[in-house]
Amino acid sequence: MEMRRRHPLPMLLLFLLIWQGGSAVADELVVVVNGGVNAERLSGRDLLELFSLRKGQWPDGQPVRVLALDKDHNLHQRFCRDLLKLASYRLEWFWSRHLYAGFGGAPQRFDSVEALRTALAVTPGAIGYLQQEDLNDQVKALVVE
Amino acid sequence: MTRSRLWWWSSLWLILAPAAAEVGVHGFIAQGAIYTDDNAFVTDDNGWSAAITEVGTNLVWQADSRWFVAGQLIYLNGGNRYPDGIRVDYLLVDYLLFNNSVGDVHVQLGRFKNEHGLYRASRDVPATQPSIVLPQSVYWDMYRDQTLNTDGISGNGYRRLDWGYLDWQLSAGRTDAFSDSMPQTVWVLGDGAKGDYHEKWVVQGSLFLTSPAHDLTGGISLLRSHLEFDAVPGSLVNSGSAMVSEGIASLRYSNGSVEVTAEYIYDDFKLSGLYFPSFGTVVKSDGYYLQGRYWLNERAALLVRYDHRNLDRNDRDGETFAAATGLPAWLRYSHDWMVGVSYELSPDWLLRAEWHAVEGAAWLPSHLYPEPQLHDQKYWNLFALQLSWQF
Repeated sequence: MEMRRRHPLPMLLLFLLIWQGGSAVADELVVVVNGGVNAERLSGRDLLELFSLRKGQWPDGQPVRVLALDKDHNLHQRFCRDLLKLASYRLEWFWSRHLYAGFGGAPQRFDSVEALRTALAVTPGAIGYLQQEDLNDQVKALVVE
Repeated sequence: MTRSRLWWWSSLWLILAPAAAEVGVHGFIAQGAIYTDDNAFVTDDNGWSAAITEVGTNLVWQADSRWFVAGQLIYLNGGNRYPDGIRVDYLLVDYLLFNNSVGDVHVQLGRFKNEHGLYRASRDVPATQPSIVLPQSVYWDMYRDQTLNTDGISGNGYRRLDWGYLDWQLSAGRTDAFSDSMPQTVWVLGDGAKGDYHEKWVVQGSLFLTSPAHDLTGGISLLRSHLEFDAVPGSLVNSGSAMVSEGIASLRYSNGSVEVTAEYIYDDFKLSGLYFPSFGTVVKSDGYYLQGRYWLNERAALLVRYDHRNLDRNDRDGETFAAATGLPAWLRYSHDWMVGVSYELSPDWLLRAEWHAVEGAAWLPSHLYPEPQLHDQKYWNLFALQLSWQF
């Protein structure tokens, strides 16, 4: 394909826009899994099935471990509203009923982002969420489509 | 359950717990205060009572990616509402039989819970319930132990479809709720019944459909069970049996801070014997409730509910019964208007208060032999407060 010469100004503006946008999304929430989880992307419905504890295994057979912050943590509330698109009281109902009716274990909960990130890094099969700025190379962010 | 069997179950629990590498232990403690102005729903002398205690602990051992073992012990004291004591709520082995990207199938062996209606499977756990006292039309305390769990085999699973989710359960076995330490006999048949009351078998099935966004859930739950009573000499109730057919239709809509729930139940009791040896009849009861919840914020929620129970679908106002027996017609129905409030003091602490204004006495034991001297008010009130903690 023939390359056309571009005027530098629009490119500069585009760069500035992306750079500005980048700083604006530092607190954006992303779905995060343990580095050993063999997945790159999820659909919104996959996410709901994982967090409603219906889907108990990753495609390679590894058990899913749902990790979350405490119910009243601001990031947990944002995760329910923006990514899961489910009222947090409904999510709690799924989790409590699952546990107390003998359908399996309960998700593990943490009171700080630091503790959640550490657990995501060391728990095989773990899935949770973090802010973009809290990611490190021990956890893997997934694209939610 | 006899004491020796309780001991056996508990010992198994204690052996399993430390042996397990990957074990989760959780539980809850709930204590309340409950007041009735009449009709002895909780205590015979009415007034305030502390007979509203629910304590439970469970453990789940995930043995590998396909097997888990889970068990829960519960202590309940509900006054007259059900026998007090410790129960093995469930103790089961679960095997993931099949799974793919759109669904799975689990098989459970042992004592498992039944998803019979929206709230039954975890009915004693305050955090999973809308109110302190559940809508008695569908979750009748008097029948708590008879429909809650089963010793046998259960299959359950989910399936993702284009238009939502299908969650199902199918089970068979028998319920162990009818022995000397749990005098369910008295609850159902009255003080005069002496003998062995047991369930020969029960089959249950449920199917729930949920929209992809989880805002709408509808379901059907069905139960069929065969109960037998073998009288001993001196019993005022004769030997007999009951064939029970029960169905529940459930609907729930939730959107943001609003949730609306409705459930309808029907019961057909085909009775043989009991009153006298050649006796036979079919008692057809039904009921429904309509409930709205509104979350003021993440911590506080308001609740309003109307609950309606008829002991005889062909005699909803109880007048036929009154004409035949000379007893009050309102022994045959209960209409309950209730309002309640929930407040989460912290993620683990929940405070609740509620008021029920009730017309009629159909909730109250015993089922087959009403006690009009104890339940002598057409209109009565119930207040309840409850503080619960979960870990």
